[in-house]
Amino acid sequence: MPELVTAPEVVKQQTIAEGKRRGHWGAVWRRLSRSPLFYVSAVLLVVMVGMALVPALFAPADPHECDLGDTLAGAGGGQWLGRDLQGCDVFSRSVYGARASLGIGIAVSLVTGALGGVVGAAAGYFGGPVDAVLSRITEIFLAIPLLLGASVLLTLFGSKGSGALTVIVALSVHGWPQVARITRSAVMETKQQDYVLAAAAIGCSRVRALTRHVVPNSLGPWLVVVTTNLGVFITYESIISMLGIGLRPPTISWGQMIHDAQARFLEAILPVLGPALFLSVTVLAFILLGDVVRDAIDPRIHS
Amino acid sequence: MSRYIASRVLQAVLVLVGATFVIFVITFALPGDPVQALAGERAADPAFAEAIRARYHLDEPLVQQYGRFLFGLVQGDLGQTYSGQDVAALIGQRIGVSAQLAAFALAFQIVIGVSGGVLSALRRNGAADAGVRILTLAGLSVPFFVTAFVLQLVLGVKFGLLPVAGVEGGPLSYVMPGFVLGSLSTAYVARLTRGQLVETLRADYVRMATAKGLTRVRVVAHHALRNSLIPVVTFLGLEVGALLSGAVITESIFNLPGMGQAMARAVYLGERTTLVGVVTVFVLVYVVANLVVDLLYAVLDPRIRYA
Repeated sequence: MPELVTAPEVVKQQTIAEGKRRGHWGAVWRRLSRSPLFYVSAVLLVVMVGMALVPALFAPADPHECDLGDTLAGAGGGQWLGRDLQGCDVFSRSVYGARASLGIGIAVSLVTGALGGVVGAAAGYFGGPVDAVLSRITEIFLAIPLLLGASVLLTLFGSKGSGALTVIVALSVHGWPQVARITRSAVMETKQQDYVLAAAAIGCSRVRALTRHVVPNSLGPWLVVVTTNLGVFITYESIISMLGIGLRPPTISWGQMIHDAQARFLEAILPVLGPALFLSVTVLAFILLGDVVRDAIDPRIHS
Repeated sequence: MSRYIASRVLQAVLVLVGATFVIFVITFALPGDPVQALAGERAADPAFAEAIRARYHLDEPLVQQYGRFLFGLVQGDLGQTYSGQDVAALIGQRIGVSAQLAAFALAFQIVIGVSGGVLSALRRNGAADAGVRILTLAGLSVPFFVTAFVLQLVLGVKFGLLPVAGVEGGPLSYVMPGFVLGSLSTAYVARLTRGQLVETLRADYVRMATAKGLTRVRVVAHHALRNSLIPVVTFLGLEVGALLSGAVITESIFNLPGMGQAMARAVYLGERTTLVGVVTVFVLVYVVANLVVDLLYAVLDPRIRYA
């Protein structure tokens, strides 16, 4: 009657394994939901995403309805952040700018996360000559300044349309090496853990070990850098749009608004500070989110 | 150890060659014909065009031009601009401004960043800690060019404390731009220092040092801080490499005649030789800084042993 004895044992072991697997991300979520900063960043981001999706709900005025007679008017009279050079409502334009800025940030974060993740994981896991080649390529791209690559790409292709796709490509070319570096070191660390060795010892194939054991356990640092990068890329978009080589009108973005307002900031600072406020709050929300996600994934560094 | 050094140097050379090649290729993809730019409105005289192309080797294949560039680079020759100026000399005129700007930025990072982080870690969860952390988050999220405009307006125009732009004010001219250029990394250094020091203060050897009766100052300065600063030193080393090329926008906002401004002008004018030369210097500094940090790391942290 050996079956009768072992069957409940097997079932019990399976439940423990199931429970543990759910347990890891469950514990991460529990720690996340206990952090007040998580809710602060979540609320800020929900508001920002809401603005990006339905700006009309948040903006008191039409961003394209401007009154040249009221150029550079200060705050007051229904314009909380005053009017810009064209006499447009700065607050409403900032609300409408959320779509382009957030969209580009999210797109670039996804592209760099995927590309950097794959290159970094391959370099870290396979090591040897694969690592040597991939790491040198990563370093070469890391060494090229953002503004060189961005300005050449945008001068070449930026004249067509609003340039959103070119901006995404230019920022992605610059952004992926950093993700690759972080993923590589996370994978290298995980690879040496005993459970990966144990998996290999019971005959697990390299591909299976990579997808089932190494990748899920190295996801933490990758997730943190991709989250924090959302804010970084939104800032980068504003930098190149501020230089006048990024997004073009009629697309409204925060960087582009700052570009339009910077020449006259000594007369009227609100058209600069308005979009800058939206930009800073969004970046702050992503930084806070990255922080709480990091603390939740790795409670050892939680202070 | 010497094998490690040799392999790192070799890697650095490989990265330098690869990066300059990529720069060369993307720069030559820039639109515009230098011959036509020199000729002005009229169509260029064929003989003139021929002479210019031959002089700048524009008729050669890209790889051959790159080989010529590398050959010049080893001899310190970065070629000539299309108006006949020596690119190496042009960089020589401008590198001083960039270096001073970078030095000011680095000084802000070390002085404000490290001391802010130490203060924050020692008064953990107190008022000073909260203050430093709020300032740090502000430094990370407010875009630096907005900080620049506000500082120019307040310190420069309203109160007249510091020069608004240009380099006529001597070293004082670099205070505002240096702060702006270093602001993001200053915040990062403060965070890094705080995190490292908080962790080190819990280590057994720090408790041991306290237990044997050392003063608090000695425990922190000699035992905790020294070990906490290794990642900070690493970060600052990499920062040196990034500061030069990161200064493009700061230099244009504050009208500083440095290399960043030269790069922006070169992109605008389609001056390929200048662009390649300036960015090569950026990459060179970056690669060398990386190399030094890697080697320094092995010296600073004796636990790391390289075969």
